[in-house]
Amino acid sequence: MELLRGLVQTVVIIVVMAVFMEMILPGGDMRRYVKMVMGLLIIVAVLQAAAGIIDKGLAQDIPQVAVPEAGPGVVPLEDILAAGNELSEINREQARQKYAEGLAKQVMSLARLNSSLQVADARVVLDEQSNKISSITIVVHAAAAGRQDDEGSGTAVNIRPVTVDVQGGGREPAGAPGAAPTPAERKAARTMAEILADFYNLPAGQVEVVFR
Amino acid sequence: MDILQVSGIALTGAVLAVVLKYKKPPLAMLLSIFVGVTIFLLVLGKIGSIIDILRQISYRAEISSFYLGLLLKIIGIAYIADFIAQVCRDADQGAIAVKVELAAKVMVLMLAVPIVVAVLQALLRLIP
Repeated sequence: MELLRGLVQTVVIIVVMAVFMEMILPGGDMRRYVKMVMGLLIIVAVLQAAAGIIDKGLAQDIPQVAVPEAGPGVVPLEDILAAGNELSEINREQARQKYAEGLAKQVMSLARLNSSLQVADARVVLDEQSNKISSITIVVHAAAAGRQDDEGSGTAVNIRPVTVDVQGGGREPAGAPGAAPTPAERKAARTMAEILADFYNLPAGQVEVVFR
Repeated sequence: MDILQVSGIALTGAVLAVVLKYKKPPLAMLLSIFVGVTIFLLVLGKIGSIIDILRQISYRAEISSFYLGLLLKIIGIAYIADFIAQVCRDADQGAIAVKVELAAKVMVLMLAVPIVVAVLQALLRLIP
């Protein structure tokens, strides 16, 4: 009975409000449009009021908590709060990971639009505090393009290009273990990094392409 | 009383506009715009109290203030568009008036999308 009383009260208030609002509607051609939106709003209000009574389970998602004051098996409040915080931290970390994975997939599909490079993987590192993108690393197969070219031209022997490193003393460049990218590949990688940096509004240095 | 002020401004503006219409038509149009804006600004202060009442009623009816805000925005758009379209019609620019009304309709429909989604969600919630 109390619920019904509440529903009738709410509907009466909604009707009064609708009449009041109709008075301030503009005249002319625009009136019909505003009236339509107002009608929708009234439908929402009435449905919400009705749903609160008909579907009580949906309206009251959170059950009432009845915690006994003390006794055997009663966990102290501090422990519950600590466990809650721990759970919240785990959830946050998982959400961060999912976000990073989703971004990495997006980056990879964007990078793969460039057909001149064979993108193997993409990694996105997020900032701990702000959850913003800290760096993007794209792993590219270095010899892929060369191999494709060779296959296209019908060359039988696939010879890796010889690189003479005069200054490096045999040391591999950082972030490129065993990589031997051609100048064309380097150029394509630079372009791709710039495009990705623009797309995610990052400084160019935060997008790195690694050849493997 | 405010209504006397508004009436006085409107009457003076109308007489002046009629006089100017034959001597300098562009000035007459400018005058009508000026009078319209002045009357609009005079009553603008009173709209605040109406909005307060609407907010209180919506709070009692458990309507989200977000939806009420949307509705008020829509009413505002409709009023402004109507006002400008009327000014354009007075200046014999019916085509521009139609375009203003079209823009207002598009904006109103765009703002109505969250309410349409809310109706859908409420309907789907009712289905067992």
